[in-house]
Amino acid sequence: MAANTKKELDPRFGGEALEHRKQLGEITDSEVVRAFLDGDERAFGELVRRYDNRLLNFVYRTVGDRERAQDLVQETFVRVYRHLARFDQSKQFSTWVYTIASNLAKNELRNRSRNPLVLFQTIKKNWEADHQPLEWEDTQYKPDDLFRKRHLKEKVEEAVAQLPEYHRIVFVLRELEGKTYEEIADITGCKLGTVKSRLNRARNNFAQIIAPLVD
Amino acid sequence: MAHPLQYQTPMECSDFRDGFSDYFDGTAEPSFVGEADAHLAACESCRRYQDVMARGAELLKGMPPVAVSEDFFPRLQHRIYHIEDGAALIHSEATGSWTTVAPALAIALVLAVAAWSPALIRAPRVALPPVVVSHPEPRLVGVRPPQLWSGGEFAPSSLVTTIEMTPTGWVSTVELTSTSFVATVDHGLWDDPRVFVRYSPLTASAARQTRSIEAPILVSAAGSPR
Repeated sequence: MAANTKKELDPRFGGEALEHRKQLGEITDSEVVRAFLDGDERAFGELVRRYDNRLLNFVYRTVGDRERAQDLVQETFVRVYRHLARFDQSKQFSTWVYTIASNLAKNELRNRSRNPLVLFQTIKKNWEADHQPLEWEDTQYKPDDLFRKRHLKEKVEEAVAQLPEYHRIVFVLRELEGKTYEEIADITGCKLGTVKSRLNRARNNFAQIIAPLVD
Repeated sequence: MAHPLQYQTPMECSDFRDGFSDYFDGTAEPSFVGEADAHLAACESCRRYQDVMARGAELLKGMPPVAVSEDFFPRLQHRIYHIEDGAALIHSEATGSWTTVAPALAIALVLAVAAWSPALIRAPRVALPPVVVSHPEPRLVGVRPPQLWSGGEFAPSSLVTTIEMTPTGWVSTVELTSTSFVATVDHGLWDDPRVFVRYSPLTASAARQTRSIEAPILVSAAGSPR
């Protein structure tokens, strides 16, 4: 809510003209893009508001590091701002923005695999975060339930993280973002058959990992 | 894995799992859906597989979503401002570049032409006179009076010293017939840190009073004549 208030007060991301923001909120992505290209600076804020958390969740589940994921989402919006004039408006904006974020995430994973220090820091960071108490847990649960819930959450996250890079991106786009096969093919630049194959393998691996936990 | 003959169905488990994604997402062909339903009704293993996937997807969707931090927008805003500054700078450089670069190019061209000009390359050479290094004249900085020499190595036969008393004090005149000796004295005198000149106006005054012959002498720090 605080972020929303900030956006409303911010002259760039929403602005004081609440009415104008409401109008922007009611139009489609392509119309917002057109408004921005026509000189409406606030339209870019509307695009950011629509996709910030969605992209963050996608990138976070792909790279596994929240801070880094946020940096990558920022970089995504910077690139959108720079190159929006070159965006083919006959295509979907969401596909384009997810493609940028997906490429940045892939580069991040590639760089990380080449740099063991970064990988170690990420693992250490995640380990520390995982061992902190979970504040969102319901205290009405019994300790056994809490432990099981936390354990299950960890295992599900681990199962996603254990998937190979290309399988993971497809899996997250489908299971978490609810993208269609065609959209995933556009985002990843793969053929439809490749997407189906990767998704099938990812689901198979995922099911094998979590099967002992699901009764 | 269930044996196909056991369930009397043409679909095997591998076939079901190969096409599972389409079946699970509801995008499979109707014919495949019919066969898969029949297979699932008979195969416990594939039923379990489907249950695990459904439960896993449910857990995944139930994960608490992450949200951008509060400093996300100020940071993004800051970066975008810099993009705009950079764009403005590039634009201004592009518009004013010709007027800025043209004189610099012209100057560079003139310098290049001058540097490669045949007139400059064939310029007459200036013959400079040879540099002659002159050795400084030898200096006689101090000589013991002959009466204080102990002889031997300190008394060269070619040296004649005359000591006279004048109103201003003792004056010794040295005549040398060998310049090599003078050079030797001059060269070695200041190299030895133990050597110093003991001289004072009081010494001359006392000498006048006692009329004793005592001229400024050179002694070494160890007290032995040099």
